[in-house]
Amino acid sequence: MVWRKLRRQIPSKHAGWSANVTNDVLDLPLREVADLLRRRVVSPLELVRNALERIRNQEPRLNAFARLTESRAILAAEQAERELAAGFWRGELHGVPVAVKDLYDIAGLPTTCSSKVRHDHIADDDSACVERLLAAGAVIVGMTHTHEFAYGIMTPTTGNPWNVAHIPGGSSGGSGATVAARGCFMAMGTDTGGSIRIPASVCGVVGLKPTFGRVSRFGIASLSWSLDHAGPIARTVGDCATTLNVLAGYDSRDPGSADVPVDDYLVELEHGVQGLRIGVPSNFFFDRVDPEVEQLVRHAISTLQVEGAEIVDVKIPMAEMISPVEFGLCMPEASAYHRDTIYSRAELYQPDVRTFLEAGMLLPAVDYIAAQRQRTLIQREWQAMFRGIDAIIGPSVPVAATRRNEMTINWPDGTEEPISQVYVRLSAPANVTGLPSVSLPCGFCQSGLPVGFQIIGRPFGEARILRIARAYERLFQWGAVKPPC
Amino acid sequence: MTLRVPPDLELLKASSKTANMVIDENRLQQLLPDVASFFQLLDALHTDGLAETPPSNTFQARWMER
Repeated sequence: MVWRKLRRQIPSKHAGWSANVTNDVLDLPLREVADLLRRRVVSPLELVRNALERIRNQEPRLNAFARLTESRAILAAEQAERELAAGFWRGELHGVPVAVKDLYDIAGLPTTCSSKVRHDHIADDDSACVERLLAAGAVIVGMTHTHEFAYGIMTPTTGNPWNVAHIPGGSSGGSGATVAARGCFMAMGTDTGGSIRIPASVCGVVGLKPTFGRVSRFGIASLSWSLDHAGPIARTVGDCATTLNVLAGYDSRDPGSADVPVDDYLVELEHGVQGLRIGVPSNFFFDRVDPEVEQLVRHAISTLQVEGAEIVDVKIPMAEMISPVEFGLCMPEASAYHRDTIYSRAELYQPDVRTFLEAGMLLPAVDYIAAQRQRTLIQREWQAMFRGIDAIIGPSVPVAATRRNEMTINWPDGTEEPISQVYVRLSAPANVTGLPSVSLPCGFCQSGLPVGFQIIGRPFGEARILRIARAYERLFQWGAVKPPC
Repeated sequence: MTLRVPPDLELLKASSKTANMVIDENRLQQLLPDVASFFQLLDALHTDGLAETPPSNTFQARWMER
């Protein structure tokens, strides 16, 4: 496939930083370019300069970035170059250009959450994820646009690299767009109702929402403390796995952080699916889904069955309760977080976010408590459903990327559904349950827009779902197809 | 499950006053359909099946190292 052809074009060994950074190098997956950096085939400094040039060329169409951090990136690349030349290798992110969502604090830089409300907010300290990325030698090139305060799925500032008249998804739309467009090799997102997996799916890349508490949220602007997750968007399953190796771990500064041992997420990556049991829902996940999306996802499931996985029918319990719990938790918590500013500066918010925040202020506390109580029941029911299976599979989202001015979907059964509910509907279960979920591409619609499917696993079962994802990706490298931007 | 009465402008005025929020009548009128929609969604949470179920965020007294 395409990535194997690219590897053959690159010289295998050089005495110094002698290979030019071509477009082919910028198009490689993270782990491939990491190998070139480690072997000193490619210079970190030249790599980041070329990445920044490509991003600058793309930005007039995509507008994926809230800000670029060029001078810091150059300094980090120079340090990486010195260290690699001295034989000191920090790991697979060493010298690799990455981005973070404009929710993550980076010391001394604005974290605006793509909002006028925060236009003058300068972070004092690095967020936990940024600390870990910098310690791993990653080169942060900029901060990507988010739907304002992560409270939406459209990221209206940004275009989809496959067709800029369409949304990149959200709220981590800037991260999804720049990774898909090969501007950088990995970008951090957050996921409260699907905000890593939605852009990953509609931009044709891989997005990983780890188990609740697996990755520290310290220093990330909160949307909903009960539902927020931090995780990577990258070009391949292996790229997400190696990034999770850097990010995962207990952090006492995040009250939701889980003090659970960290796996090596690469160890079982290539083990295949022989003998694994995968649940395919007979309800909920394939209800009101675009027929093209369903067809591609079911083909992915069949592929895994041919590869040796046992496919088992499962019934999603309490399916009708997922959306009420998602919104019952998110709305009051988000409004509580924004209480001071919604009182004093409501007009600075975008209309859709302002509506959610003001409405959230008016919801009774007993609704919030009821959502927390139903969440307890849902967790018990899902635990029972997972007896004897390793994962469940379904579409990441019901439709491919909609047009940027489209506010509702009209389904063949005559119902009309707001876009915000459409895209959250299938991703919310993994937020409500806190279970790990990875979205990866499974093909393209006739319109040329990507389609993704998600694999949801057991608590702290990231290694298992990445292994299943990799088994499919080995056969169908949809992520190697470049968008036209 | 008892469904709550669909909200009207007067209810929103009272709610916003309880929340100590100053929202003018025009804005409350704009919010009304969305709030009604959210109330309808959240009504589903109040089922008989909750019984003695505790909330999922029950407090832990254990101190954590900071």
